[in-house]
Amino acid sequence: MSQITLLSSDNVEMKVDKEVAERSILIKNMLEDVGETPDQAIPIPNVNEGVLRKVIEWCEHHRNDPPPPADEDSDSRKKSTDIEEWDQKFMQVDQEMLFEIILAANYLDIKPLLDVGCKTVANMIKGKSPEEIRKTFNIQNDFTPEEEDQIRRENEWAEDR
Amino acid sequence: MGIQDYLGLGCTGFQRLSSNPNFPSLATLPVELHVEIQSYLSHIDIERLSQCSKTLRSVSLLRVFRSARISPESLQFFIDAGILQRLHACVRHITLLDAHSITTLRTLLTSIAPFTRLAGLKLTYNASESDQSAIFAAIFSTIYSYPFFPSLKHIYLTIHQSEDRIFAQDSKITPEDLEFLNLPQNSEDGSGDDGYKGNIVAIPTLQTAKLKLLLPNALFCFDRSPIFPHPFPPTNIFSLSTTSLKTLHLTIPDLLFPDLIAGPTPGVITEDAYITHKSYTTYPTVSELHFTISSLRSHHLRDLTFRFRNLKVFIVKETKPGKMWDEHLTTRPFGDIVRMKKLKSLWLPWVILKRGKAATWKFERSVMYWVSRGLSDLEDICFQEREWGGGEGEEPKVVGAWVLEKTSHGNFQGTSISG
Repeated sequence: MSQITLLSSDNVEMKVDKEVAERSILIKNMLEDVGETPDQAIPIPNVNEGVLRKVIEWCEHHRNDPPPPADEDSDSRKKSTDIEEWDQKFMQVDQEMLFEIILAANYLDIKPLLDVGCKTVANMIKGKSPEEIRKTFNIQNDFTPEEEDQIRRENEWAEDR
Repeated sequence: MGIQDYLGLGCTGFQRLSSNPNFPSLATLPVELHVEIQSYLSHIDIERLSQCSKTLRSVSLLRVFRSARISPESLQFFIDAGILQRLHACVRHITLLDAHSITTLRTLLTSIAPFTRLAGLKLTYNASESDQSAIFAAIFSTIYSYPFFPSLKHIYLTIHQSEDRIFAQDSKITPEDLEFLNLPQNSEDGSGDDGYKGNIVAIPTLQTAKLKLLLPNALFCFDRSPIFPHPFPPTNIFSLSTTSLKTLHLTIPDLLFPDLIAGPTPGVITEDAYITHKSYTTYPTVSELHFTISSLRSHHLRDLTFRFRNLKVFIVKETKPGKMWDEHLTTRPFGDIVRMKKLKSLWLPWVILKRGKAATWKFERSVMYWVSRGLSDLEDICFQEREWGGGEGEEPKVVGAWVLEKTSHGNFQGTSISG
């Protein structure tokens, strides 16, 4: 099994199996385009050591997953937020790490990991009032009471479908 | 391309909304990830999310207003709130409200022109006695004379009148019907007024149309005739959409083919008349037809088989079931179905079997007759079975409902779905 070296944004080198690293479509395409396995470390800018280790942990666990089914219509109705048990535990991290993982998965193009991250965030939003959502995500309410009222009235003209 | 270049390509994912790029949070995620997260949320959750902060409002507006209700009031509100222009790019579905008069209806239809991403339009109009004749002119000419719906795929129109009036039970044209159908005419030189023009721009992207016309005494015919210059469904709507239209739902009180239309038998279109009468519209791309009518008659079915030869799914429903239909099953009206060679799934409202006959076997035999005449794709047929003794004034009795499904041997086997 050939290995490659990844270099985090804070200059920490990590050796991973090529197969594991190729869960990232970005890296997979890159390796295919470059041809042979590179002997120098592949820099992953913007992903620090902690996040990269976490992402690699996920890729290790899911190294043998079948490829995901073709993308469904993006305009389709609400998707299921079911998350398998291992992934649920994996996502039990602080919010900063959660969003770092989502951003890294987006950047590295690891769709299944991105899905798990987005589902986790969606589950944190579901069923909450605006105030509860603000509390959960530490969001500053920058609306005036008049603006809040205005937004509520605007939303009355929106339809659920 | 070097590794560095390659990795640089992905960096757009890191654009952040906030001025604090070091601490990622919900508010600082890039828009594309908000879209992703929102795909897992219900409408009410997204609405609540949109009330949290200005940033979250901004990134969820697209989903909150994927579908909007448009009325004179809401339009004014959107203008006052200064969000109308943003909504033009968001809204995919519009339900038009409060169109109480033809003038309001026209104004509303015109005002939704800038919604350039519109895919679906739903409109319910309650016609009053006085404006009946202007309804179609207002709706169809206004919508279709502007090529402003580049993406419209689904249209759902319901036109009704106060419900206390009873549909004409009889297929006779009354003077009232004629008056109703006296729609604006095209002028000689073709320029016409703003009414129902022949050269109206149709929608080449239209895939689904649901037309529900519940006007008492409004007896429509499918094509132009000296008495009915305006066909139903209006040919103008579909003249360009015939290459894109896939699913059609038609709900109408009654269909009539008056004596004058064609053919020697009143109300019946003959094959010769059909072939020679060029103005008949066919719908070659429509593969699914849901047809709801007050009372189905054999000539309705016959006519539909002429127009919708490429149907795969054909579902017929009756709102006021007729009581006399004791035709031989292998001849008309069912015999005509053999024209729909691609038919896979057929839902008939009911089949009457005379008392004393074995229940489904006779119908199964006629199904086999269709198959032998070319309906080789037919897979399932659903119908309600009624029994009728043949007596004058005797009501047919509902015996059960059945599904006939094709077996691996190519036969059809009936399963009761009653109760």
